[in-house]
Amino acid sequence: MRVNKNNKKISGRKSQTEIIGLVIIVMLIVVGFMLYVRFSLMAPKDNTKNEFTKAELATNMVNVLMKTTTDCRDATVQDLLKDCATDGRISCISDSVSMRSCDYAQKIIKTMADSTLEKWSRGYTITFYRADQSVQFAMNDSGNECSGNKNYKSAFSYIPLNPGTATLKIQLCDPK
Amino acid sequence: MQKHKLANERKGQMKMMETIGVLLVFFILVGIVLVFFAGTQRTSVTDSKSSLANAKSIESAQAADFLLEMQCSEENIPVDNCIEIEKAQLLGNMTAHDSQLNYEHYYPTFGYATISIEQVYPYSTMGKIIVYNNTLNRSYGNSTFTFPVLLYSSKKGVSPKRYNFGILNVISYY
Repeated sequence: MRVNKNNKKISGRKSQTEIIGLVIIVMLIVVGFMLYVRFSLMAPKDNTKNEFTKAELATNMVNVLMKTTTDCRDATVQDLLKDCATDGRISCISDSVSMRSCDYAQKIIKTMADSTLEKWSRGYTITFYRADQSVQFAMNDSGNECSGNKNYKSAFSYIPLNPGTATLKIQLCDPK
Repeated sequence: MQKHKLANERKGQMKMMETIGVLLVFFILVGIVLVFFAGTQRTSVTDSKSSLANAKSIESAQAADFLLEMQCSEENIPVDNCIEIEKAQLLGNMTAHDSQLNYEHYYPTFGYATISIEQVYPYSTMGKIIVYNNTLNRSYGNSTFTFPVLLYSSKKGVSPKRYNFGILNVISYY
């Protein structure tokens, strides 16, 4: 009888040990699986295109904007901005309303930005200021995506004045 | 004796069933793991294709922007980021009707892509000009790259130094 009890105890211990072994193996498999999921499925996506696009778009946008000819006496945007930063002699007619060069340039730039950047869901801030940092005008996209957003790319165009320079800055941001 | 034999046989059969059961469960688990692994590999391959297509679309856009056949020039000096509308229309007609030209000359550069230009300011009824169009019959997806360009018209009656605001759109298929 005693022998039977011992045998039972021994076999009981054996099965407990086996179960523990199985549990350890299952836990190892689960941990391995979770590590695999973490490193392969949740790996950071390739963001090269987005970063390149932002930088290229900002640069192209500012370069093309400046050289665009407007309907205001066939002056380019650069000419209007130069006039805006200096004596504001140029007067433009838009929808039968007379406008200063600053307002007309701002309107044209806003039209082009809305037809492109806003349409492509790109957050933007466009600022035009003189060398003394006095802002002539500034505009944002409708959602104000660039406010407080640290992930942006900027492009600048400098207009030589006499003296000093004026700067048109375009800042493009990812949507928040 | 016979009873003992029978009992042993039954034990043997039980063991056999047990082993078969374990093997069955094991192979079912292996099958599930394989299916899951194949799924993740497919996702990984699709992501790689998408990355390559992104790189290709950027490359095609750069090539299109500097394509001599469409580039503006002022007194034989090329103007950066500028496309002449009439040249683009002509090129579009040529690539649409001459498949050999398309294949030999432009396919190595652009691959499967659609390249078009459109005027944004001032408003124009010109519409979209398709410069190159080579779509893939069964594509998994596409990558689009759009950026602003200057558009210049050399037509008579148009102010000689007038540059309009347009966009160049490149869609690469994969």
